[in-house]
Amino acid sequence: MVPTLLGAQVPPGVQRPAGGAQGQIVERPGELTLGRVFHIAGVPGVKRNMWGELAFTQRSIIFFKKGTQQALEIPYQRVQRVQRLTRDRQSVKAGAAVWLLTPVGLGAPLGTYLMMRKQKVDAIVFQYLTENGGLAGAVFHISTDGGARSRDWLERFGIAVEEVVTPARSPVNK
Amino acid sequence: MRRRVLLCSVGLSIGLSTAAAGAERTFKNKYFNIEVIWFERAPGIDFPPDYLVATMEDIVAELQKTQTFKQVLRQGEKARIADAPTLRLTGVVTKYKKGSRRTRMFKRLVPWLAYGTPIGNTEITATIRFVDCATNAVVVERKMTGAIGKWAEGMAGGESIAATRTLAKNVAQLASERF
Repeated sequence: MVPTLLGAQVPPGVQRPAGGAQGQIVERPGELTLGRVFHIAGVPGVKRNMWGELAFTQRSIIFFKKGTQQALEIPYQRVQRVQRLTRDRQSVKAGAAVWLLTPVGLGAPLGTYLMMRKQKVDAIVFQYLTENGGLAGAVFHISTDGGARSRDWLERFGIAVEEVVTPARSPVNK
Repeated sequence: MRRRVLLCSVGLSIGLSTAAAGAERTFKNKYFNIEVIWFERAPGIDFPPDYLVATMEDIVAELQKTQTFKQVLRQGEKARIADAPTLRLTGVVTKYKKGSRRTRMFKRLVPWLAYGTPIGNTEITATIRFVDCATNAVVVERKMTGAIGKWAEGMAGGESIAATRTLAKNVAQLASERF
């Protein structure tokens, strides 16, 4: 039986994707793998901002947690909705490390710059049905190129990806 | 005379507080399961879809952690024991303040400028309802907020999306206190 739930072992038929770990996008016949995908929500037992690999196969989407065989598998037929939107990521940990590890005073400007710097990424939001019929969701941050490639891939399998435009600041949502 | 009034008021307040505590106690161990329905957005509120998914997943996870209910069901999921008393958790997001992590970090670097002010804080306010599935009666209704921006969240200001977890923790705490 193919486990849909997270923390489950990868089913025998599914190979852990090779490569892609350094943020590359690897496309082979029948599989698209995105490396360095950040988990935001929806995978039990995996912390927020922990990274892994996201593989799009012929029949499902699989998230491989960093350095393990544990995964979340979402078969395409259970996918209810996919949305894609632009988000900012800040490399706070890298900035803090520069702050702390460089001699007093020298690392502060660079560390502050790294902490404040924003990097544009794509947030991919999946809504899907679990094995028990419950509505669940998962959110991942991937590179903008990876976002476009995954959209193209999913559309090949008849899954429409909605592009969500984040509204500009308004008096209600300031 | 004054003494009597004082004694009466003390007695009344003690009586009221015990009555309130008694009313809260009536729900304890009454419900076996809870079904978490996806939150809605109030008109005009642009609550992003990634935040909505994070809110729902965090609420399910936090409710499971409390072990208040035998089963925490997702929307549409069937309970193992069909007749078991079940609660339904619904919610409407009524306010969303986007906030800015950069501003929060800046506030920490120059605290004399904005110490204690809500500038840059991320806030999610939702009206939460616990509904009895059998009678459709609202058992508990509360306005709850999840926010990021407290000084305890560290120099880095805390991620904006972490406000969903704060909200989820508050909801789970309310559930564990009342049920």
